[in-house]
Amino acid sequence: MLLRSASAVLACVILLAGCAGPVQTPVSLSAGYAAAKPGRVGVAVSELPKPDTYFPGAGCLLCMATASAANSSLTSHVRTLNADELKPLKQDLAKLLRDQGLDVVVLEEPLKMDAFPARSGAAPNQARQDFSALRDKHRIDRLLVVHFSELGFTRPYSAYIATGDARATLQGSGSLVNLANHNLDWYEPISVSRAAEGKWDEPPKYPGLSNAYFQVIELGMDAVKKPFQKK
Amino acid sequence: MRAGAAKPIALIALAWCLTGASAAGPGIAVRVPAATELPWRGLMAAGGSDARGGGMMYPAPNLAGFLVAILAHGLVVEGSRNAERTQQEKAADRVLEPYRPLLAGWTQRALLEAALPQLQQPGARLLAEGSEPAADEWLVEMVPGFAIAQDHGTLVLDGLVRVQRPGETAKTETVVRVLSAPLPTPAVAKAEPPVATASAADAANAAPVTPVAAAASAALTGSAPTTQASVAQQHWSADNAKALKVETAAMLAHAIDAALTQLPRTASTPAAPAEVPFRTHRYLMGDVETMERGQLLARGCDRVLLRTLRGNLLSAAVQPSRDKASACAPGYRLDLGSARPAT
Repeated sequence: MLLRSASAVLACVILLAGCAGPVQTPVSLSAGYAAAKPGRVGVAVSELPKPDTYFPGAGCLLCMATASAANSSLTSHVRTLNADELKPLKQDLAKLLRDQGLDVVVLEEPLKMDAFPARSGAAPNQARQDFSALRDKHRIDRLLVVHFSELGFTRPYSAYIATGDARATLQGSGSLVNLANHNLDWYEPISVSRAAEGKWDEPPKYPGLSNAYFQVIELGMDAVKKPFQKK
Repeated sequence: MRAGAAKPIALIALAWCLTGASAAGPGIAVRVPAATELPWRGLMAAGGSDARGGGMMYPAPNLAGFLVAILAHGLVVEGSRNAERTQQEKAADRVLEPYRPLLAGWTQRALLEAALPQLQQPGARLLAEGSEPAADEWLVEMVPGFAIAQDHGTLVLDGLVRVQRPGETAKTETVVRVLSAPLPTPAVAKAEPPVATASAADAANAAPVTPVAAAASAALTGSAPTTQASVAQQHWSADNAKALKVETAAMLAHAIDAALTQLPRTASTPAAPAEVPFRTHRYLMGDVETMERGQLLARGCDRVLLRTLRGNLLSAAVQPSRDKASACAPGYRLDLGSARPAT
């Protein structure tokens, strides 16, 4: 009986440890990157997320329902906002790369990240997804892809209780992938959040939080563009 | 001159003065606030604290016990957050310590007396205590509050401006925030190590400074932030806080001008001009660039006036215009439209 219980616990631990992949750490763009003629670079942005509310810490189902109900007005408002301010990012990045003498093609269609298969056995500092199809389709050697996973407002919870004010948030990552071997020439996680100036709880339009929303969009774009700006 | 001729001449002179005044438009009477002292605070760092969430196990033998546990959890968290907020505000106010002895005599009245001559609106006067404005005068009441940034580099005026039109009893309220311009580079660069001075010299050609860049620069220069703060503090404190008093008076005058010229034509007209779109505008808070979503109402060489999402007015410094050919107004003297409030 004891042996059976211990085996069950061990099996759970092994299973959960296997599911947890290592977190990709930032990879800096090398100083002479443009001069090294990396080939034709495709610039793409993933499908922009629909603005939403997030309640980290409200882990149980009832906790999530309680948090959603308590912040229903905020959720209604965030769904009136859009991510249009992020749309110029692709062209801005392309311009920065062209200004450094690189051959750039803009991939007009937003990338559906789920459509790219996972790369089994991806080593650290390698892309976790296989973008080979884009290499053949667009005749590119490198892919600069920006993926936004979260945009909207976040409010931390401890089970049923809010432990902080709502803040604007933008989460994602930027990668420059060498499509020959899927090595990462550059990787930067994007994690920007801002509180409202003054009060945040101003239904129905939440002007302070909405202002913070537009701030995180600008700051997120700045963070992505910074490594490619001429020094 | 004969004594008999003096009286008609005086009457003619008085009539000329009154005629001159009415031709220039209605006057502006500014009421001195009841409170003598000018409120100051330390500006808390932008961004706010990032509270953490997390799971929670509630020991509860039954439903009632479960609900009591949740309520207790809520009270503990709320108490903790309030205490943390109070602590942060007290810590932020410590930036005022060097200035408190110098600001003791800088009262509401002294500030208004220094500000009124700087108004772009002519004909403003301080209303004597207990008196009312003339029938054709606008009444302006200002409730100002000032703040100093933690790096001592920026002064912030947050003012509530109440305006009463001639012949009306209702008052229109506008909240105005004015940020002082970044301190002149030579005032800061002298005390900085060479690498920081080079960065300051290239600032005009560089991309706009972002908070990330500013933080990186501060990290690289090590003691630079402390040095910059002490130079800024010396600038404001010198000569019995002369620079600080001059700047606050100019900011107050600008706030009153902005509030008056952005008033709707009638009390029932919406304040925001519908045709001006909302955009994200970048401005400077000291050396750090930040953003505000708003409608652009007026622009000068190095300053913009915005109407924010809250409907308030924000006047802030921006990167100076590089177009040397076009004429633009420097400092606080923006082209705010009509020089006289609409009646």
